[in-house]
Amino acid sequence: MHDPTARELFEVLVREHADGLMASIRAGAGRAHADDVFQETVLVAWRRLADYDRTRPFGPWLRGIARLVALDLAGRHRRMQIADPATFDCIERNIAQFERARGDGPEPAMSFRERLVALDDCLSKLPAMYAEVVQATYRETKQLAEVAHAIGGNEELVKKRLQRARAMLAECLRGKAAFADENDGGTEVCA
Amino acid sequence: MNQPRDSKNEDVNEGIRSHMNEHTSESAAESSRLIDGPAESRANDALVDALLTAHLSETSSMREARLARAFLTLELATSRDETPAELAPIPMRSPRERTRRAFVVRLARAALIALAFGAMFLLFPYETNASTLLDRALTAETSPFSIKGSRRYEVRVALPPREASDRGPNAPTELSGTWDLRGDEARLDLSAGGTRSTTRASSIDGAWERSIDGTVRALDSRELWPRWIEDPSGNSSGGVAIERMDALLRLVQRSYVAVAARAGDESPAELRGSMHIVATRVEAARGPDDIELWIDTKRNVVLAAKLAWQTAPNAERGERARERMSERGGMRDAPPRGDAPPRGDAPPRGDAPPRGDAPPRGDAPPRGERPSARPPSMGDFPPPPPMDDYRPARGMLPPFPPRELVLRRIEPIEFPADHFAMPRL
Repeated sequence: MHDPTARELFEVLVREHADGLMASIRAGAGRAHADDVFQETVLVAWRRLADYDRTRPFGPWLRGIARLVALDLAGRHRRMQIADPATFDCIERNIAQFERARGDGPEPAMSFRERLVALDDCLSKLPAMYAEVVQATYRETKQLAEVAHAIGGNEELVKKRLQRARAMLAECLRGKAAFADENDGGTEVCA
Repeated sequence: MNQPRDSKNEDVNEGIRSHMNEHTSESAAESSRLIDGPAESRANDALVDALLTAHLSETSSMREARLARAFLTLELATSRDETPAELAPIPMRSPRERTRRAFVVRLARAALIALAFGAMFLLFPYETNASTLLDRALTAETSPFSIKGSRRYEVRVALPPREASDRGPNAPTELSGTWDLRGDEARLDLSAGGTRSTTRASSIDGAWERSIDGTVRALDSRELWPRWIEDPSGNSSGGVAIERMDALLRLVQRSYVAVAARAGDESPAELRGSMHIVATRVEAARGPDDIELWIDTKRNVVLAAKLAWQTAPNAERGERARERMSERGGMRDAPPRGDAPPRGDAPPRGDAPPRGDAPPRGDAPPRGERPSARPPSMGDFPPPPPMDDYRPARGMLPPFPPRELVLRRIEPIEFPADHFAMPRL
């Protein structure tokens, strides 16, 4: 019987938390450098594994490293946009809540992917004019101008609709206890 | 969020625009991120954006590739870190040698990455491709932008050989016509030998049919299409997959094993270069045994489809059905639950009309629109075998599955505004 090595166990843990980690990176550091931050985070986490307190959850530790890596990378790429500390805190609070969420299925959700299904229900509740731009933007990955052309509006209209749609989705996720409640023990900087 | 790191006074929008200029493929999502307001709102906006990206934009192969890259980087880094001192490379003596060594290291790294990706594609070969292609085609088909567009498919229906059925001597062997789609509306025009034609349409105002003698009548909800193909999930309109292309694609995703390859010599010349998906039924869904799809990967549209039913099993089913009929004294009835054949012949799930409520067999129109005579059909089709539990299909189409159904996209096409509407009498 093959005993898993520390490396193999580490890779299992990273794989398990990869979706949450990537969501945190995208939300806090944008998409352009998300893959670089992800890769560097995995490397740093492996090298600092001795510092990891095994009594605490692995996901937040990994995301904490990602935040430092993103800050470091932003120091080298002047144009890289990064969230301010308060926003980072709020993102982390919501991801932690999302990871605790039970999910919409009959059985409690066991993974980040399973919890994402809750998003489908929220998406189905969006009014058509918002659902249209969300589908075109995320599922079809259309450019801003393309979406604007398709709905017969301008780019500002598309941006507004996307922002409004995301706000509605956040509200829906909060209603499902997948996002933290604003009045529920939020940190001062976040509240 | 996304405050410029160096100076808060910098114009944020300009910063974002310049950031975007680095990456020409930025989507509407990134440029619409909330940059003002409380931290909570910005965090919610950014996180929902990230979740939507993960849920709707990413495929499993993209995630796997990211993990593969990260683990490969880890592998390279740790192997370098863990190299014993005595095996550590001897320091280069000249800049030229250092350059050469750096080049070799880069080359080795590139080779390793290529190897890792190669291995990944070997591990997740065509199934992933077929799944992705189906996903994209389905997205394009159901997109609010594409469904507004008009689509026309040339249709050819090859009916089973006469020996394999009980059809009369006048029954045609092939039907041809067009299948038109626009939004949720569909219209099928079929003719036998180019002479007698029939039309069947689902418009936003309801379904209607024009028989071969020109009689037009509205169809009620019980008058379904022949149940040649059925989406077991029941998500499609009425559960009949052939009414909508997206329903057909969903059926392939759910009940078929599909593989994909670039269309080559095995495909008609005009379809070569597109992606050719070959799908075989694996679940007990009503539908063809094999479905082939040709997909244009630039537009993610289905260029052609070929649906094939095996005729021999149909004949066998007919035989079994006849035996069952004789056992029951010639009365046609739905099969008992649990008695359905294992593959493809399951009765419709739960949505079959209750027996007492079933419409009359034959070609009787809905109440209040009963014509004086039975409308002519495209041949003398016998009633469908009870084994298949086809619900009454009182139109002109034969109630049993054809041998082959071929769809070929015709474009460009633009329909008149009232193309799907029931003609006024």
